Amino acid sequence: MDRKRKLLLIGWDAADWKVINPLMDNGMMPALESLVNDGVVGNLATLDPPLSPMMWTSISTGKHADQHGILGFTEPSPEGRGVRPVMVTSRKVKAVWNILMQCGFKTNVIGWWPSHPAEPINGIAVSNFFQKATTEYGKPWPMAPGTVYPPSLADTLKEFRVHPGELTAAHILPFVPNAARIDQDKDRRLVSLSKIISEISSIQAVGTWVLENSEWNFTAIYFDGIDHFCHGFMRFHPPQMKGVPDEIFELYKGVVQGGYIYHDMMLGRLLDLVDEETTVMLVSDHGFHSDHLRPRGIPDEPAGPAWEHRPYGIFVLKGPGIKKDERVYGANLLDVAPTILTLFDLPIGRDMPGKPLLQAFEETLEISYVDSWEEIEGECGMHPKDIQRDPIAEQAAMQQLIELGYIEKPDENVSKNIERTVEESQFYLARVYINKNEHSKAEPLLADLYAKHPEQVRFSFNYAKCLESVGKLDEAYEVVSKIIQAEKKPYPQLFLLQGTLEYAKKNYEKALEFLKKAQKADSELPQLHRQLGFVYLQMRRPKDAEAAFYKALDNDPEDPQTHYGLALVMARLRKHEESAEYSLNAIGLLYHFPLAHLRLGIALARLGRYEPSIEAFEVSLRMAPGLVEAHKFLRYIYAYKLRDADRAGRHEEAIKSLTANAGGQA
Amino acid sequence: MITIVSGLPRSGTSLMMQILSAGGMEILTDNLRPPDVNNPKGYFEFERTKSLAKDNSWLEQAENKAVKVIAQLVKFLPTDHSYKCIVMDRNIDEILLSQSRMITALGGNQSTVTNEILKKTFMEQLSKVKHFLAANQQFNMYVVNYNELLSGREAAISRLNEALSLGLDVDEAASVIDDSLYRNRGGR
Repeated sequence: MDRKRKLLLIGWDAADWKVINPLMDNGMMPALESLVNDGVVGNLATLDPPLSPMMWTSISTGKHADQHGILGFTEPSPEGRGVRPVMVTSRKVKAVWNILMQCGFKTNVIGWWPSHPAEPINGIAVSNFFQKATTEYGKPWPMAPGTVYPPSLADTLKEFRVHPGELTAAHILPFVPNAARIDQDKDRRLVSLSKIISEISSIQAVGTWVLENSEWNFTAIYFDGIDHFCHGFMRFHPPQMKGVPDEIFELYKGVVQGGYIYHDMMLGRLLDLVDEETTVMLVSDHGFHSDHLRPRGIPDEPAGPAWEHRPYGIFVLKGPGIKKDERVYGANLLDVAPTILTLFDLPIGRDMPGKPLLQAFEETLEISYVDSWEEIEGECGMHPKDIQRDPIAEQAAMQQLIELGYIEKPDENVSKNIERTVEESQFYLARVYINKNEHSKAEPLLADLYAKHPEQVRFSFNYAKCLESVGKLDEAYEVVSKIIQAEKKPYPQLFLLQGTLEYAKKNYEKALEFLKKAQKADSELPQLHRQLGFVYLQMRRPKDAEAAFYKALDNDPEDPQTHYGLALVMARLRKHEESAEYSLNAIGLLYHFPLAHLRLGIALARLGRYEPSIEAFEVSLRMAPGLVEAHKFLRYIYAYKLRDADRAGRHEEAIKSLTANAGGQA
Repeated sequence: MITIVSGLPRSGTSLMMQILSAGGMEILTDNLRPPDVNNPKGYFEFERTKSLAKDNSWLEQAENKAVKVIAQLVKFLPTDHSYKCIVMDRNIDEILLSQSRMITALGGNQSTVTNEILKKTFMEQLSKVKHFLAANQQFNMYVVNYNELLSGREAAISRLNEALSLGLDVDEAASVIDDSLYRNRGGR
């Protein structure tokens, strides 16, 4: 094991290549450009729901939220007396820094979300409460207990905090050159801007101190600034959006760009503090719509701002043994932790659904596995068991005691807040299951939410989609009918859902009718043209399908489903090279896409390239063992092209077994 | 010295209060919760314990008496008193079944999480309470298994009496144990 190995992991919440690329092209992000030129880059597909505490915990643990236990921004506080920001004590599994510490590496963690109270690791931990200004400028600003580990460093490190009140015009003008024109009694945006700048400056200050003053193998530093700059100011980012007054646009049009440039300056300093032997990884948890895909309105719901998130974050990796100036494809958030373990020559947990990004390495690496790092005992710097908690289960137990009359009921406002928090967590958990294609686990959660709040369209809408996915089409239709009855004016998304339901019921004419209605109401509706493409495909109108998918690509060139749709169209048109190419595009955007691997296999088989097609079929089967079609192709290739009766027989057996399990239907 | 009877709800805390009362110990109760089908001989509760997290000013009234405090609230007992603490243990499946029946009888809402989650959470909470009591010198803890109490009766009460020096009349105390109370086991 290489004890000299060093990795600096930097998190930039919501960083997006769509904003970065033009800035780098104009020489405005030189630090990032140096990393990009000397390392590998790629998109990092996010997970759903794209909520930062859940995503950053997936990045650090390599696990989905149902495994790691962080389910939103807030959680019920102990004893059921209120709601509090989500805490690291609710994380049920080890983060990479816990695994690294267990293996003898020195680790630091700065500002990760969530990381309060700071974990007792073998280096320095600074929690995400560190940078929050809780009092007015000039008044005492105590640091919350548990913010710094070891506590002996708390007095030293608290001096690195920057209060928004310390900022002067010199700090603000690079972002808003005409700030003097703003009437701050009416427009409070400068206050939120100051808060963002001071918070990331606090993290940078403590981060640089830690890099300079500690021995370490692994340091993780997380900045939430880009996400906040974007939520506050992306609607003023060029090009000017409809409805944004000229004067406001002129004032704030440079804030997002300024935010990125400031992050690049901070990155430059961090890079100055590490040597050439240190590997640097820069990631973001999701992107942020910066173009015509910016939503025109944000739904009035607790995680409404997440509608502005784009499903691709950034991935950059540079260091010894890493390729230079190359791209990695098909990466997602869950791949970060396995890749870090690989960098430290450590085995990957089989319970980690991601994969190490081996394409980034110059040499071919042998990967080893353990069943689960959770089962390997050892001092890892997690909080002791009696501090760790499952807030949702505890709240359920508390509610049971209240129902039994053994504990006083909290006042109505507190009760409502807790109830809302638990429901939000339940909703996010359901979406995690949907994201994992485990619709049957999501269904009861959404059924419960729908029963309690049929008026909340996000519950009913997702419930209907979930019912559709588990094949309960009539029930799905019933839910949709109720939504339509409740809404004064059906909106385009509903037509789209109705179209999708009719498609699932194989009523393609009717599906087309609804989708046309949706198109008439809003021709830019996300996913509309893609769905139209699939309907046309089923109606044996491949040319119309092709046109619809191209239109979908105009709208969003990085949608893997659309590339997959085009792969199907090309197959129908017997253009197998193109079909393979679109399948590869889809896989490049979303690696865990078994149908795209299957389609790639079919295209390659049609082209007579049997070896790579076998590989593609095998990948699809690893992801979705029930794909009978993959077995059928493999049986055919082994039996008739490669004359391998033994292997053909194995696939024959698999087909029989799957067919029997499916009640006689292949 | 205050005697605390604790445990998860439906683990036999009311029965223990009856035993202590019959054995000659003074108990602190306001009888605000009347006997019902769930506890035909009464609950022996003191309403103000429910808000122990916010208010412990009533604790003076419990001096030299026994009072029922559910496990989840024990940690709010101030450490400027000394306590004898009887913790009731009972098969968790029986507890959950009994709780579920009681919630139905009270017209309340059943839990939205699975029994497995509730079971795990309650067991963890009880385990933490036991650790807290064991680690804290203000508390002298003794764990009584509900099922063994029903089968062992006098012997079980004698062991408790001796361990915590409660000064009970064991025969009188044991006389309150009624076989019919041992219900809600395994779906019966």
